[in-house]
Amino acid sequence: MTDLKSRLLTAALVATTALTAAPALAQGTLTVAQRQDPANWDPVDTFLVAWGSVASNIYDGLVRRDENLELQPGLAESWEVSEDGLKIRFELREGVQFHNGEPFDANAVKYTFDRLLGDVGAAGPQRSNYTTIESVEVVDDTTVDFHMAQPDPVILTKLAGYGAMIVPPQYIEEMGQEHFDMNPVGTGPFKFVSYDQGARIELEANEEYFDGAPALDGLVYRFIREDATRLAELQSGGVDLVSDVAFSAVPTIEAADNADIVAVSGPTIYSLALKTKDAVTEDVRVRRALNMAVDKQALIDAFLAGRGTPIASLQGELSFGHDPELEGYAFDPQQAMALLQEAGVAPGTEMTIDYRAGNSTFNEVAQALTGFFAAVGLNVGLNPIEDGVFLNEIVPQGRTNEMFQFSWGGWTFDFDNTAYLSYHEGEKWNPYGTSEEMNELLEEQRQSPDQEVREEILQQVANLAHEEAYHIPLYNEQTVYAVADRVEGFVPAPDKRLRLTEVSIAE
Amino acid sequence: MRETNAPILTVENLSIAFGETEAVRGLSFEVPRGGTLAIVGESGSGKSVTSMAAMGLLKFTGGRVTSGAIRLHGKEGETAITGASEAALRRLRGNRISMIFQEPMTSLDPVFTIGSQIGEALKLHRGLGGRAARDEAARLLELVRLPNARAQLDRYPHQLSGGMRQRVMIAMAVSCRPDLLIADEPTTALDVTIQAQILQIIRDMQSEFGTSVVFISHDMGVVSEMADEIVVMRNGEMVETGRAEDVILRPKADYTRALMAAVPKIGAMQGSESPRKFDLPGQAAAEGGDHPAPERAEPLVRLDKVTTRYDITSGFFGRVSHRVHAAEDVSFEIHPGETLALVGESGSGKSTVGKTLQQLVRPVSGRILYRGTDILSLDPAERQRFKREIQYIFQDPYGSLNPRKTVKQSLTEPMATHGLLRDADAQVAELLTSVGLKSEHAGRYPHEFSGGQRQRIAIARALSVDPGLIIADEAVSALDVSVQAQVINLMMDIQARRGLAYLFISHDMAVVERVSHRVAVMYLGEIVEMGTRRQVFETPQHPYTKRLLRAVPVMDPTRPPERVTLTGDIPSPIRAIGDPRRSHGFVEVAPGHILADNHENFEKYREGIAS
Amino acid sequence: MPILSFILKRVIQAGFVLIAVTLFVSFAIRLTGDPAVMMLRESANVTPEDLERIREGLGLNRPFLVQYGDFIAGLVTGDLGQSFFRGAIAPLVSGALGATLLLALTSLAVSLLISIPLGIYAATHRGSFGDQLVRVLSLAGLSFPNFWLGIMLVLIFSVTLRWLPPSGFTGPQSLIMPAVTIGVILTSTNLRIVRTTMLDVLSSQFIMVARAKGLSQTKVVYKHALRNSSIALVTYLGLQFGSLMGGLVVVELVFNWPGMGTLAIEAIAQRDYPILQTVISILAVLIVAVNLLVDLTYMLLDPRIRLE
Repeated sequence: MTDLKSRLLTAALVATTALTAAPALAQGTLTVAQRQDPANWDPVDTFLVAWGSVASNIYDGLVRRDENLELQPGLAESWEVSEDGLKIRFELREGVQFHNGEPFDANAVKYTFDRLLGDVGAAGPQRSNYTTIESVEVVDDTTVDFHMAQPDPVILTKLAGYGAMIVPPQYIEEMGQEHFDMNPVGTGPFKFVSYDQGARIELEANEEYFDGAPALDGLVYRFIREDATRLAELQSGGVDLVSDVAFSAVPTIEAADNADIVAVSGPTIYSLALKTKDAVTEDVRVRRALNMAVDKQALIDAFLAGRGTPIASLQGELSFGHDPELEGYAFDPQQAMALLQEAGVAPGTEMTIDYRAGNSTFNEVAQALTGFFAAVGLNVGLNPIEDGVFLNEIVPQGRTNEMFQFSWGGWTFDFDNTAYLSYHEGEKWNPYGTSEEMNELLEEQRQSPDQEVREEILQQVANLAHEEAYHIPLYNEQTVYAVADRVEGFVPAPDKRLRLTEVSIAE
Repeated sequence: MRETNAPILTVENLSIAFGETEAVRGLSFEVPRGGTLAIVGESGSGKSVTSMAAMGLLKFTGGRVTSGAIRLHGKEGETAITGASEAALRRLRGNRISMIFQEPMTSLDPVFTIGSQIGEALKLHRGLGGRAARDEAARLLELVRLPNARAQLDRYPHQLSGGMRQRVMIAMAVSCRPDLLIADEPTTALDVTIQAQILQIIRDMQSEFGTSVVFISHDMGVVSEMADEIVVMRNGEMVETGRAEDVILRPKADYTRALMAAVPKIGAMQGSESPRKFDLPGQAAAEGGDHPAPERAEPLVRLDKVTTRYDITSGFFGRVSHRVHAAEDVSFEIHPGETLALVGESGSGKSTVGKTLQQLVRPVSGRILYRGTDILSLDPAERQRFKREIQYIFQDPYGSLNPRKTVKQSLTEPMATHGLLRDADAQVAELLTSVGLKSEHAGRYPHEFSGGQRQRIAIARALSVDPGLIIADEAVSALDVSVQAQVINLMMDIQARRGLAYLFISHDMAVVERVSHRVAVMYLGEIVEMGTRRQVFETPQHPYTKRLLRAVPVMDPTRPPERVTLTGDIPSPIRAIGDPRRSHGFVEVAPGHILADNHENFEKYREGIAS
Repeated sequence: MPILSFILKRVIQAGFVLIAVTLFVSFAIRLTGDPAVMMLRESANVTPEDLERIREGLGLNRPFLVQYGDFIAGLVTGDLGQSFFRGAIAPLVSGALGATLLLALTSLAVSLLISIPLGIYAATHRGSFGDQLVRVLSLAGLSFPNFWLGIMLVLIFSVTLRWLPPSGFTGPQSLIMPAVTIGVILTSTNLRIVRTTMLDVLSSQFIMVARAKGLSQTKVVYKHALRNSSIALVTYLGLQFGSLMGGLVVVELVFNWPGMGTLAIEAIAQRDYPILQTVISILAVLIVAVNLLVDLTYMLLDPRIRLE
């Protein structure tokens, strides 16, 4: 109450006197604007990309994935996977301290994973990614063994993920979980300074960072929900870097004289899944015809400002399991019509696309798709559905129409993630089933510790899915940033995790 | 008393226009110092506009003085009001000239206390401070005999009755001892006993402060009581002027003579058994004029102990805490071709009786018999049929006619409802002719008619369904006297032709005396006296009837007005639950003349409630 | 005594309104999606056990009425509890409420400061050029969508002129553009109300009586006429409050104002039931309270109601 009162007073005071300009930013401080405030900085409690883009600067994992999606040593200097894939030994970095001065050691690693897999992690969304880990054993201060319940070929990648960020045991035990939620402490290149929920979080450089101090003195993230407002902040000099830039705004930024667009292939792909049971799309010829009816590049040019790549399977080029040989169905309306005729689908047959309302870009894409389908004689309607209903009631229950949106951002960049839940029996995104062969392939690659074997099998999966035309793969979106010209050295990561150690600000 | 020197106000060759329309043309008169000049005229005569010009308030009404001059010769020397600056006028207004308006209910600002509103003028013109202004305001309220004057200072206008508010207005108007007081229809909206009090107070103030008065009125009786001199106006011009006695008793202009003929004069019907039409110049002489009482056979309508009450809820649970005893045990009969008048003041319940009879409100007990059938016990469909038999004419014909419907549409609608429509054009033409309008008026809209004509249309609409009884609720009260006389004559003609019965509800004793066969006097929801017109007017028995009759201003300038008591207001018919009514019976003092049997206690009883 | 009884009556009414609103909101929001599913929508290998564990952690596996009962008990005792994802609710909501009220009251104050004198001018100079201008301007103000107006202001004052920060709440200068955006809409309607009620009151007989007393134009207009027309204005403001809150949500979004609207939208996106329930309940309390306040102001302004 008194806080409000004093705010009111100040407001009245200054409103009556002359307006002062906004204070200049401190030297070497970069301000980032992003859409969402993750609102909780505990790694086990989050599922948001918005968390990663901030907290990647605060925490480290045992391993780190770089901008090229290569795994690099993090808090572990090296690791060794046993023959059967059931044990992984990590040699830890020495002399590292958490921001609060607490030393990092094997106990911290064990504490982190016990916490993630125990009661604290149980109520959060991260635990399910790590359930293949049976236990973590402290061998000595700088050595830990991970005992696996089953081989997990993606586990190393996952150890670079959110839930595996190493947290400080003493700090959490002393201050309590709730304090930790709002006052994060890690080993990363930036230290937490302050957090104003819904508005901003401020970080400062960790001069003792084991990989060398960052170029910036400080880092500020501001949470601004409205797309236009984020860009206005950029244009008025309030922020230096804007994430989650809408495609429709790309031409404006490109034309601006003090900022530019920086983009990178992202994890997210868009597609239409096809109903393979009790529908006209049961016939594979119809599904192929639908694939041929769509000009993917035209969609990318028209609605993504060219910031996307056509895809042949449910993954982008950077994904593990991507097959450069596989070509998607070419845009060929004549062939599509011939196939439809062959399958006995009469011109004017009605179909419907179910899609998630609220994404304005995909909304436009869906409109355009109906045009493509109309060109091959199909009468396709649109059925936008609210997210919660779509995700809970429609897809998992198999209540979709002939076509429904499938868009996925597999953060592991491993096709296993997307393929398993799209094609394996009983999975949420596979309500109508695929084939026994598909199930076996998916299971086989999960058992294999050999990455080359896995890659080959995943490519087979992609080819099989292409043959069966379970989906109409559309495009892989780029992640687009708007960056002020004074920002130097910004290299975006495909997984949307902003790690701003190399970035600096020109005077 | 009266000084013979220069007049207080001179008006010379005054012309006033609203836009392009001239409202007053070449008007000249003088207001005698210390005396009262009355300006008399019907609506549109320019009398009120003239008073606004004298106040210098004309521009706020959208009018302007186009020629002539108004001069005030006050204690502070001569001031030209026309042509004076607004600042100069503000020093005069409320100070040297002040004004009392017609509508006491809307003259006071609802959100300020009485004391503060009186105090405003005192502070402004007499430079009194808060304390002194308050004391002076209390003194002024005592002067106008407002009970508990000092306590009233902190009350708000809505807590006072109309009569009390008008006293406050008078106190405010005389607060700076003005040279001239303009009273524009100050009693028109008030009940007759209250009117008598207000007129008395104005006369008292006049002698107290030596103030000269301009008294504007349409009511010749009131004028006759108040005026030393009279100006008669018509259509913006002066028709006649002179000493009050001369103008009233020996009018020279034709218009004045016609006006006087149309004024119902109380007592004018003495010795006459039946109602009589007005003897209007230009109309066929009311041959013999007698309007015989009908045969008293089977009554058309009989009310048997009808009681109508309204609940007032209050408090947390919306409990009924009070009741309006609007009509209590009301019984009377009306015979075919007969006019029964219901008279009484505000809150007497006379209108409630009319509404109950027309089935607009449902009584809590009692019976209504129409030609022997108990209407209230009928099922709704049959009751609907009886609605045709009883028609209603309201005070405001403009409000009761749909402005978006032509006369023909308004007239045929009730006929169609009751299945009486045969040949619309012919029926409408006949109806219009029967109320003195022309058949070509059928296609016009209400706003194209004057007030009197609209009331004729309302009568035609009532007649369209061929009713047995017409309830006329203050049906002529809003009309100018000459028009009023014509409409009354028309109603009598129709009654004679069709054998209609009227229930004539009115507060105007003089009109009632003119039109009725029998009269019922109502007080606080009860009939206190009922008899033939002659019995009630010539040998009134009940103290309240006597009081009512005494309060009616008499148009006789030779007779000094009677002094009336200045205390007492009209009591309210609202009673708390559990405060039982003192019921009474009746005694018959003469054949057909009945009287409440508790009449001897009336004065005591009345004071008990009123305090 | 009648005032106390009146307030008591309204407070009890408000209680019923709140029970109805919160019950409906709590129930309806649980139909829009399972927060556990929303949380895990980007995770692989989700088992039903995972979902169940999360539901348990969030307390969602208890019967609805138990959850509702806890929520209401929290509201009554002032312990607003924990949100699903964002920590304790009380500091979140109190901060947002403060920011929203600050914005709402500033806008209202700005609007009244403009609309009252301008409305009075228009009413007292009826038909003049100034009056026509005021009427045209108020119509124009009504025709702006506030979203659009907000963005235009940002483009002009932040992007082009760089005078004001385009978003957030960093100081008093942050308040200017959001307050003006809402203020313009409020002013347009308030101006019309002031003008029409003033015209109405100025034609009353008691105004003529006040003039006949010799009072100056200023006294007549600002004392007698304004006091009487304020009764209608207050009623209108009370009615307007609900839609003002609706408009605030949009404007808060445009200016990234850390208020109740922004908080609610965030909570909807995450299906954070506890926050959403609390926000909506508090808005309901606020609207009921404002209406009560209007009724009390009424009593203060109008003795006819006060002394009934």
